[in-house]
Amino acid sequence: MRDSMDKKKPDKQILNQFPGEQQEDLHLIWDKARRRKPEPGNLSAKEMQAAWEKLQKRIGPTRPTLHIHPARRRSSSARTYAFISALAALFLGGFLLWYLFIPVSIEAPRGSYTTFQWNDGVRVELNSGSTISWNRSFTNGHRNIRLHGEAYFDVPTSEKPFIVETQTAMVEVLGTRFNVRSWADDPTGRTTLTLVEGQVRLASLLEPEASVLIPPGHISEIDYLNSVPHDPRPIDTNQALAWRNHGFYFSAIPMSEVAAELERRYDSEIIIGNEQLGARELTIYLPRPGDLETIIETICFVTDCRYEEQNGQLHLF
Amino acid sequence: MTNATEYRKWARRIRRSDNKAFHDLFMDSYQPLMRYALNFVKDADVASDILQEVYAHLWEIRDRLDENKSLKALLYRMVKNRSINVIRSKRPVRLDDVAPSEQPSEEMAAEFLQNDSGDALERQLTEWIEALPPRQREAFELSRFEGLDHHEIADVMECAPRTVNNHIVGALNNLREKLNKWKSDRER
Repeated sequence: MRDSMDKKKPDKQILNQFPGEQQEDLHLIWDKARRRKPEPGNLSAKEMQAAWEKLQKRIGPTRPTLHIHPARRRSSSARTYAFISALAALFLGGFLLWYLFIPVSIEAPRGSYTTFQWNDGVRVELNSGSTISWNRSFTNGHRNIRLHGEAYFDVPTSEKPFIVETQTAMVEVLGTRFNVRSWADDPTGRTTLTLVEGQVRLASLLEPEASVLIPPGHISEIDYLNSVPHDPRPIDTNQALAWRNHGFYFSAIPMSEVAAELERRYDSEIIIGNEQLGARELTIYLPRPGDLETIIETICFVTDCRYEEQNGQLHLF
Repeated sequence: MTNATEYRKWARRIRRSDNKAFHDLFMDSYQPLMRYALNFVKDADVASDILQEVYAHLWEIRDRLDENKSLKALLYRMVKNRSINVIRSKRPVRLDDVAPSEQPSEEMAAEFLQNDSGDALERQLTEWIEALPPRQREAFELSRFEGLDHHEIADVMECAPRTVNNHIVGALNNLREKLNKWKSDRER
């Protein structure tokens, strides 16, 4: 193993933060501490190889091996027959692949909401601009959902797990009511989970072992930076789920995100004139919001900004 | 462990299912990670199980590896999370679980002798480092023992790089005070 520690000068720069008369002692500590590094276990090459082989066995072969049979001579009628059956198999196989692996999806277009219920009683409500998709499989494909956007799920108690996957997180439940929010245009990749009833486990996609159990009436988050979910904190679920009744609830949300939500809900374009306004955080609860212009008026009133309409776009400044 | 550039190359190749790169990464990182896991779980069998899981999981998620993020930090973080999970799942600890490790095994005796090498100050330093507040100690050890840079440590400890700097500065101040006291005691 090559040791690059001593080439890494930038690390030592931390010592420059200290006053000059302390430098000598600190360099002594810094270098001596390095030598106190515990020995790296000293595994033999044989033990390392054994560990590697164990791992290889566990993850299986990287590529499927091809079995090639020696060619045999066949009569022409047999060849035609083989050709036709191969074609049929290809067609059938193709259809089966398509059926099993091309996902089914449901979308709530911008400016509208969608509700859907499966035979097993699982019900989902989609917020504007959201999509869910799942693979058809022989049994219960729809119990493993991928979500882009925001959706509320009502899952009756069942032995079979129900899983929702977003860009960063995985939510596994056994019968609860909860809301998941994860917009692709959020640069932090944040997934927010609000639990209404029951209990769910929220885990990061990258590190599923770092998960938290969320109690009812609590909210937790995962994003690209924090792969371990935040500790759950209590929240008023009626407010947090205001969108289900077409209302709005923003709690210290930057104006840019508020605008993105309004754009989806009202299928419109909102342009924020300057960065400071886009970054300003807004806290507002609008259970019965009315039309877009009324909302913009309210927002402008609380954030002290102005708006005007130009070519069908709303400009805030 | 090898430098960051090499790790970035490995991340890129592993994302394309390059088993050779995976092998190189394994051979380079296995021993340091083993030692790191042993800080938490104190049992070589448990530690090697944790490593098996970490590498297998890394291979599973290879298509999602981001070469702009430190693969080294990801490995350390995965080992840390899994180790903590193992410790948590063992609680409440039964008496017969604890008993064997309390007995000084041959391995531990050997380790003790090994730690006993070096000059008197170095031995003292080990004690002082162990007595640091937990977050300071973690940041300091990840820097000095594991050779991670501040951004990587921030990733493992899940805090801002600025905070890592504060922890290490705090640790150094603590150690410097101990050193001064030690020096004046010896002069007397």
